[in-house]
Amino acid sequence: MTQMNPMDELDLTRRALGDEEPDPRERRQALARIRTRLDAAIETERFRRRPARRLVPPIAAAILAIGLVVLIALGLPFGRPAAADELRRLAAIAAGARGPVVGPGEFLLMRSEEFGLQGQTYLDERGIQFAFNLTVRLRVETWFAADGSGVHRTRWLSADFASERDRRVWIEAGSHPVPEAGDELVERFAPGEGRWIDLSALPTSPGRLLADLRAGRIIERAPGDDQVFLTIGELLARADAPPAVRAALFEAAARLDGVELMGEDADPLGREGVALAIQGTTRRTELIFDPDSARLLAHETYLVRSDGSVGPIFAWTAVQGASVVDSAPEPDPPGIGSPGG
Amino acid sequence: VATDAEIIGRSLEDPRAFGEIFERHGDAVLSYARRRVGPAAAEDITAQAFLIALERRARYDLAFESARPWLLGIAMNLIRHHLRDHAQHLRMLARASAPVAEQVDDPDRADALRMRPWIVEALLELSAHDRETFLLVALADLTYEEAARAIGIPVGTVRSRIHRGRMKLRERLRLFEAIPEETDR
Repeated sequence: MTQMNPMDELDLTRRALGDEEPDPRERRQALARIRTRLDAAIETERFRRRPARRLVPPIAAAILAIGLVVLIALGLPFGRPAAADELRRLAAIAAGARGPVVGPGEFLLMRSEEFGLQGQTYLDERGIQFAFNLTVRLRVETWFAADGSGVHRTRWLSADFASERDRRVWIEAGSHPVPEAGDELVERFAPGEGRWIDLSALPTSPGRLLADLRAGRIIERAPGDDQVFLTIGELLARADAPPAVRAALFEAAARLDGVELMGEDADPLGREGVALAIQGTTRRTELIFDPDSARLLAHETYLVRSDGSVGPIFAWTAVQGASVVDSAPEPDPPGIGSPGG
Repeated sequence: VATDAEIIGRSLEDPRAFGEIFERHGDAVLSYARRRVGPAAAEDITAQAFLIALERRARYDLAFESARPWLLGIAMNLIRHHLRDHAQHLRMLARASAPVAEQVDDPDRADALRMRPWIVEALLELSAHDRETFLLVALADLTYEEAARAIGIPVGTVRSRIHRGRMKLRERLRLFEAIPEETDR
């Protein structure tokens, strides 16, 4: 029998879950890469803080005015006003749409399909940590009770190594079982836990809502309006958002810098909708809405190359609808995952 | 030597000063993130934490000399969002075959590695708030006061959460002690 040392539980957890110290060279390189990103943000901020010129020189003003006249005469689109108009049109529809009502003992069932990277971490027998990515397609179902508790069921529709390198790391790590098509995980959550955000508590004033979104008070993300746009998409994906909040989210999106109206587009499930997009430095986010109901069909994220061109799709979520039901599945028993895994 | 609070105050005028905050605490935030999400995601989480900190430094309470709890609190929130289902992440850790503790030189670490599945199971039985607090103190080596600052809760609440975590671990590890060594685990 193993004699347990009288070790402090916090210390024990650190020893059991803490990884081995990484190679110092690898660590220095990681810190250097992060510092480069931080320095770029610092430079951007310094640039932003420079006082703007208050007067446009007369010649430049004249050139600008001529340019504007030419653009208007040619009928070229102005992305932002067109996008803002469309978002305000959707806001008006959303404000008049009645959301589902969940009574006592009932659940709001929301369904979606998702595609993206799923990180995996393992320790090998020496205690060395290995990390690799899978590209997965998931069917996600969530049953929300009126008190915010509920059940979350994830079913893996497909799971592949993100690259040959990821497969090699998996083999190096000991080829442990990874999620595969057909796997399923059912978990219960308490009110306030996990992904739950009480949408009825969000401000319905678009200005306050946008300030909260930008400050990361609703979902914490890296700064930037492209990240705010993605958060708006994720919140609009929830069928239980009150109409006033949905309308405020659309209006907040209309006030973001750089949103473009892309026109008609199909979502990953082939459904036609109206698409709006915003591009950040590394990612481009596209939201696709049903133009008649203002319901979000999908949000998609594309990688952006260093030259600014749009690269491959990185992740998407397609909303498949919501309904009120009177039961939810039983969660998996708590504890360690399936034996033999 | 200037305190973090003084440097952050200076960075409001000259953002370049904020680089020193990264030099002081980048390693600690990266280490914590590595332990929570593995090396691949840790780099991005750490970078995002410092970008958010740069953006929000005007709201930093200059009465606190060390910025480490504040930075770890930001990282913790990012990790919570990153690990959409943390329980699944912990299950993955538990599911991985137990490392051969006999090959580890440090006897305390070898013991801890043998107990890992039981520790994970105990953590899974905690509420999400209790688990986050317990892991923040355990993996980032913060004092209770620092953890309270990082999470934005009273220190008494941190104490209660850690106490519940300790009790749950003790309860589970009593089962571990009861298992004969030759049992396959």
